[in-house]
Amino acid sequence: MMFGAIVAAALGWLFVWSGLAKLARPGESALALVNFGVVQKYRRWKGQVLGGAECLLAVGVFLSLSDRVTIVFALFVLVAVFGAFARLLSRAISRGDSFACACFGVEGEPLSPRTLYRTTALAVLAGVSGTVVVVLHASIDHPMLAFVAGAVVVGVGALAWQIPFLLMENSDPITTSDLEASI
Amino acid sequence: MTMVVLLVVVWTMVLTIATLLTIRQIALLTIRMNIMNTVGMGSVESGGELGRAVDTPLIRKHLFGLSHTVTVFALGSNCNSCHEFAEALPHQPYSLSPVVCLLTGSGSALASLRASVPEWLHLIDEPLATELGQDLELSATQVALNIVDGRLVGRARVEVPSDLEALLTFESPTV
Repeated sequence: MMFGAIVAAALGWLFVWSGLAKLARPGESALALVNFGVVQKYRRWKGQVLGGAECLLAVGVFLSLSDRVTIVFALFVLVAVFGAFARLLSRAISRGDSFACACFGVEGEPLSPRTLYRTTALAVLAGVSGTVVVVLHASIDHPMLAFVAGAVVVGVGALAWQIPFLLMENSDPITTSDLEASI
Repeated sequence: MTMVVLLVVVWTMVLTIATLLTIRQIALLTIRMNIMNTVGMGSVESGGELGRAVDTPLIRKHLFGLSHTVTVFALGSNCNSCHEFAEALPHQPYSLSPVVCLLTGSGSALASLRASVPEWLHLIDEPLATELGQDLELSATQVALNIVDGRLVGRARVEVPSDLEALLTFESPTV
């Protein structure tokens, strides 16, 4: 029963992605911390600390893949983390705030109900997966396979997320003559 | 077996990152083409043409009331480089002529920005900051304008404090 392990691995890779993006561009994350009211003063290093913490969380999730008990623990830690993010998002949205939330390290993505639903859905996914592992007494036979499958899931998800944008751009009627006229 | 698995992981990651970067590049090119279509090849300069008269009732009251020679720039609460610029400014002023900072934005980020700017800057808050910015045709943050006797005589992009210092001491070429 690999479902719980694959979900845990995928969420771990998501935090690797998010953490590295925050480490690469800590300013936006640091500003988001101020906007969310987590810290009072803007300091660039706070964004780096957040990125580093997410990477460490990912490492912890990957290390948990070898055992059923540790996977369940890791999944419920992720539920708590996503729940905390969702709480911050819902508080800011209810205040009517509008700023770049730096969610998963995405540059410039504004705060919106969509970001809240996404985070809540991930919390629910982690919770359901942990529950399934507990209820079904699932054993983890191939942790490395779950590790790889998690990477594939996140990679496919990241590419699929771009498809609506690509479809929109591919239907944009910019023609060669438009380009020549502008030059 | 482990090596094969690791190779597959690395291959997937590299492929994904390369594809995403390509998509991002397409997006950037699209934005640039759209800007070229709407604005043309000339750049839009924040602050307007050098030498133009800068004189409205608001400007007279809030800027010229300080001095006939004044430097003004805007910082936004949602601009992280603005926060870093404000923090990096020294505690002592660069020159005797007043420097005005228009603070735009809202919320806790604005409070953090206000706390970061040194005391020698003359701060103007919202909504006056936005109104003055419109009168000055200041369309971007971190662009400083030098105004002497009601005329725009200098402009510079101020990304680091030394840029502002150079403008105040008239050592840098104008943008």
